[in-house]
Amino acid sequence: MSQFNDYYANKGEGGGGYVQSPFSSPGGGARRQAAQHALRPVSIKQLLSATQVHADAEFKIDDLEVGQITLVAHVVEVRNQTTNCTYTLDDGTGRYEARHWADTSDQKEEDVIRENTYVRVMGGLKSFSGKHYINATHVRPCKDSHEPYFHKLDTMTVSLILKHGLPGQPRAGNHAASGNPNGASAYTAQASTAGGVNDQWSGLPDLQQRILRFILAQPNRQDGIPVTAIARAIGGQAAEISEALDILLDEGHVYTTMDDTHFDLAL
Amino acid sequence: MSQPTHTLVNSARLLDHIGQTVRLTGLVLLRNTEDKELLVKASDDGKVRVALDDVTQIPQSAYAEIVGEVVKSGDALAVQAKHVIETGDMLDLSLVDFVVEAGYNPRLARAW
Repeated sequence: MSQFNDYYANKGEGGGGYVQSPFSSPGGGARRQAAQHALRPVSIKQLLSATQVHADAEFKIDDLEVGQITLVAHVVEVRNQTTNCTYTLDDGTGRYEARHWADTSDQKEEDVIRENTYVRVMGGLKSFSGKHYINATHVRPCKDSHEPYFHKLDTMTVSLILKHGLPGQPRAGNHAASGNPNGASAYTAQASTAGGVNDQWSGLPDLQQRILRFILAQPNRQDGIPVTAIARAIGGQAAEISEALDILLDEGHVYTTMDDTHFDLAL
Repeated sequence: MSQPTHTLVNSARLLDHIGQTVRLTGLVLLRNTEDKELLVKASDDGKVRVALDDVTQIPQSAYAEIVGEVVKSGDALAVQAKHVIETGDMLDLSLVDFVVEAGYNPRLARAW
């Protein structure tokens, strides 16, 4: 169903809901790039609590950078303007505006957005003249009456995963505490299956697996794990450790954080 | 400026929200155009009377979500509707009730 695929597909770069590999840019740039390609289900309460250090900075929800968001809410008001439509949305936790710049002249009747109906909105957060709103890239009516309830549970689940990590994973794998935006990618299919992490690594050589498990077990990965700490814990030749890390980096299992000597898991 | 918040409730939870605006989803059992009223079976199977402002609010679908204020009506509680949202002819009320109760769990409902 194309609608389902559109829900999880990243537009532009990457696809299939996976976060684009962050190792194409070093340090904070990689982190921001990863966050911008993640899609997070949110409530209006969370949008209202989103913070921005300055007008051009990225928005953060619960101290995590937010890229694209998805929201299901009831349309209280529709204002059609020349170049865009503005929707006032209410999901029971507050009201928020979404602006959708789109040509609706050839819109099908079933896709028309009406007041007093539920819609799904996808887009990014924007700020203009001190007012925040959703810059909507997709707005569609909810055709299944269960969708608002699914979205509420979806939001709860993702918020808990970002705060506490995936169920079954060690507490040390707390992506939210580390501020790792790849925590948002925990909502991708790759990381969403129980034991998925171990299955993903089972085909790798022993040294690479030991490196990955060591990084995963560290309590504080906010700035990444230095290669010296990895070498000290794993033992063996420095050249072998370095080569293994290069391979893991090339294959997207790890990425560099604050500099080329600090690594974190790309989960 | 404070934001309007409307908790998703079932019939049992109405007691916690007297005077507040809530969202109640249920099966529309009766439509009374003369008295501008509905009788709705909530997600926990409790029956709730809904007072409407206008007959145009009467939903045509089997299920509806009522956004309105909880008011006392004699010995019972009723909902004075502000918005009525048609939610189609097929809805799993046990799912709705699960979501209602999850909203009261402080561990789960941080985002809500």
